[in-house]
Amino acid sequence: MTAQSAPVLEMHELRTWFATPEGPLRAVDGVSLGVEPGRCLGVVGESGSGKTVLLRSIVGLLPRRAIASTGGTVCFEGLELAGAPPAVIRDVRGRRIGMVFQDPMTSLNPVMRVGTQLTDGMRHHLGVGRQEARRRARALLEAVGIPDPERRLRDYPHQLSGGMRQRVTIAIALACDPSLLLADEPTTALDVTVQSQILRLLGRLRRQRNMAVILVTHDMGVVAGSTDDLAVMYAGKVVEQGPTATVFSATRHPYTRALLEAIPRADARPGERLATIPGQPPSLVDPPSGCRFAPRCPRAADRCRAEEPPLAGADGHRFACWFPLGDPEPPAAAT
Amino acid sequence: MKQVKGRLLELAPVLLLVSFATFALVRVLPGDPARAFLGPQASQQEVALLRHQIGLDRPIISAYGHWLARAFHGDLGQSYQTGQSVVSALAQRLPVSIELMLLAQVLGLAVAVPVGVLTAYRAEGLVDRAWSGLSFATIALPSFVLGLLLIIVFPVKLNVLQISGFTHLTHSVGGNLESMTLPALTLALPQIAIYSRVLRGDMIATLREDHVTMAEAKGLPTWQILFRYALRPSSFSLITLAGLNVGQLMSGAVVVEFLFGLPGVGMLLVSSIFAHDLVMIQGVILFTVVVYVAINLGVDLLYAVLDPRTRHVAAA
Repeated sequence: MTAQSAPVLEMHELRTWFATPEGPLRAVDGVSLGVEPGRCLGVVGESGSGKTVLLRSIVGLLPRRAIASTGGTVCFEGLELAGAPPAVIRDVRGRRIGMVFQDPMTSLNPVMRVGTQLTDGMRHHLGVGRQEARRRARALLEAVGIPDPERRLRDYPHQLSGGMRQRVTIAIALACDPSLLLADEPTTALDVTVQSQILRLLGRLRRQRNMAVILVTHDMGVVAGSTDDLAVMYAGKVVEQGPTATVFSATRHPYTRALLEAIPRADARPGERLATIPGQPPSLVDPPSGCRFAPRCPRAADRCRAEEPPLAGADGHRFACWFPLGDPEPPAAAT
Repeated sequence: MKQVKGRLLELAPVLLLVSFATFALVRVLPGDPARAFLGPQASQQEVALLRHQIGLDRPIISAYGHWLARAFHGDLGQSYQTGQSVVSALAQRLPVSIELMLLAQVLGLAVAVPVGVLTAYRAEGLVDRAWSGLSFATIALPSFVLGLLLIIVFPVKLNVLQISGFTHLTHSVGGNLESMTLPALTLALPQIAIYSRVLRGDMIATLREDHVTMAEAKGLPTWQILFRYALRPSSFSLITLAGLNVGQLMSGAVVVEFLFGLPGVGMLLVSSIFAHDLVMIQGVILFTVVVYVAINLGVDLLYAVLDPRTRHVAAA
């Protein structure tokens, strides 16, 4: 699939290493991804795969003193964000890039009214007056499906349900009409029924505003219904990426298939065990040489443990595997 | 306002118990207060008369009941040293103590809040480390040592401000402030140290919370994130501590008032103890206790203003 327009955001070989007493921890280790206007890129992976760090690296929302080294480029609407001065990034944050976080119970300030938290971003960035900000805030709450917005503006976060709060944080993220929305597990902390409402809302807002969205999640089920493109991350690297439908129907990387098999199915027999991926993700301080998934991979051969596979492929579907699914099994190797 | 009523009902037994304890404490002290006041030359009859006047010859419960009943009508008795009523003595001394308290608190908070926020924002930085050392040195000094040090530095070496003595506010505003500066500073310095450390600790915890990251994601300037988003949820320990200090200082900063010769409530208490003025001691202590409890009630109610969640939990 070819992109209709230039990407809003393009990362190239993005790298974020944290400082630890044992040495640098390679949380994000050379990731290249992009997203076009009006499209949704899903980033999936287990906890600790680096997906959240990747998202925060884009807008410099990481504790500066924890970082050992960074690298690569982040090009956002022609502006280079990687290594940009804090003032430049701060001006982009909230104004041109909105963010939604995982847990709406903790991401709103408990002692400030919803209205204040919703309006002060636009008052700061756009310089609108109190009345105008108020009017826009009402419209935003309506747009995210909150009834009786006038009353809700005066409420404190604890007076709202979890789903309502997440709608409020989405409204806050959209306050300055950003061209890119970064959503970090926006449905993980919510009830299942609310989850699908929030995902539908995000989809609708994206289409209405022709906004690009990067949706980070560990849930393949979330990715399936709400993303156009998909990147699977493992141990700080992208192992497979492509149009979501292609990645699902013609899965090439064994890790992606393992993630797909780990989705609980409605037609499973009672008592049937869920598929799990044996072993633990590798240490990111001292990652294994070769393919990082090799120690857990059922298809791993000697070459996998020795040489790191490049991310390659055709027609926008790329994968980092020496013996991808669909190819013949590798020669059985003695372990 | 159901909350307020409930709290008041809870406080009634506390007040009763503490007032009885202070009343009894003075009575069970060894020695006869009447004899101590009148001196060894006084005759038995004179002592007996005074004992009767202050109710020392009555059973303690009955004397306490009598005293409490009169206290409810705003009569705490009269000093048998000067003949002045306890209430009017307190009314005379209280403004001095309140002024000292206000100056010390304003000075303390005005310095501690920005410093606490800054050291939390740059925790483990150079300023934070230096401030930490300085704070502990200040806290470790007893107030009379700190007061004497200030006297040596300012009036003695630099020849500014006065060593001791008090100028009334109505007499001269400048002179009043001059006489109050060193005592207020003596009280404020350890408070600045403690307040800023307490605020720093809570603030560091708040700065790690998701809602602060969210505020950063909104692209707000750092000062707004620190002072508008993070300060209020971090200020509960500080408010509690400041409240306790206000309560304590309202009833007189005993050591500092004595050191600098300020005629406040603390000074009144010290001089009545020296004079074995039983009635005055009881009255001053009762006043102290009531003020302390009232201020704490005020602080509890202030939480509801600071944190909307406590309001609704209580109402539910």
